[in-house]
Amino acid sequence: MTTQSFASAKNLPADCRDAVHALLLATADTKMFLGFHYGEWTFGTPALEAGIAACCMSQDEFGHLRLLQACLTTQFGDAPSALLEKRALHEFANIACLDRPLVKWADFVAINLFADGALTVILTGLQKSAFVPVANFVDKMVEEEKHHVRNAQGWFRTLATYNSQTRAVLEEASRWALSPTLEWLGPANHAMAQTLEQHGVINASWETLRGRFLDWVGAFAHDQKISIGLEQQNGRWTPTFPLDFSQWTPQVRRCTPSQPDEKILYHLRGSKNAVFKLSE
Amino acid sequence: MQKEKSKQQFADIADAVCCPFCHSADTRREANFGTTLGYAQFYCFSCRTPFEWIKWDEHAPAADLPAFLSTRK
Repeated sequence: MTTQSFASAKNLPADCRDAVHALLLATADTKMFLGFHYGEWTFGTPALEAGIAACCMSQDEFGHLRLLQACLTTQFGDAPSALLEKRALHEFANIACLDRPLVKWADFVAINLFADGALTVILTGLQKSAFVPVANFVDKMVEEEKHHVRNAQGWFRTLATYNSQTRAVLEEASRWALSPTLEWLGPANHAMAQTLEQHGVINASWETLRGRFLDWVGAFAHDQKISIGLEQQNGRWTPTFPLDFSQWTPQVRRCTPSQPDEKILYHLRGSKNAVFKLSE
Repeated sequence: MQKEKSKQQFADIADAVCCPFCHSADTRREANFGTTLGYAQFYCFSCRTPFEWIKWDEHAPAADLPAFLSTRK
């Protein structure tokens, strides 16, 4: 791994620049959808505190989105409209369990733990990054994400122990969220990740980061006696279900073609109020 | 004088958030989010006072966090 630092994207080698761009775009997309879903659950939560937490986390995610999109715009020349308004649905690289509205509270808890948690692991992998523009803001994100993790773990424990019905629904929601989250994380090793590690953009191998996520959620769910489709082998937690990465690309991070709900994009793009957009 | 002593007494409790009123470390996190985004809510069992605590603090409690997030820099 190199110890060279890169003050801007134009200093990055071409293959590394593409890899950083793809990872930041996928992270930004996921944060945008997380922010939307958290915001949607400002009302209708099982407790007032949960609604406060949901809208606070939404604000966090949109704050992170703003930083990521600013980086994509200033460092990589992405036009703001190209990041959201003029992108085809199949180009979004968010974690696929965020494609649709969250139907029940257990779905919220599951994406809070698994989708948001996986993103947090990747953010820790970007700490002290050789790519200075990212290193400058990622510590702040990680600090804020600690409170998302606490919120997720707290609600996961609550639903896991409240009664048999909440346990069953939590287990179902966890399995629903975990598989697309692992799709998004991708294979244990791939060319893009190797490039990122080789140039010091990430501080550990992709296999290490992926393993860190699996070991955390595997042990945590096991402690709560919730079966999420992971088993321990030689001390490491691994999926018991198949993941076929033959069609996977770092651009959209999905094993099979899928795309977010157009209605969600309608809200995110502000289409209803397009007439008021000052930039057009 | 008393307050200074209490501060000293609890200075080495890395994971405790001390009460801003009585400086006791006998506190509990009540909510991760407070009246604004930057606050968490705590309760002091010593003086029985709720208080808000700014999140971005180098002495933030690391309890109940996975290992990859609880390592101090």
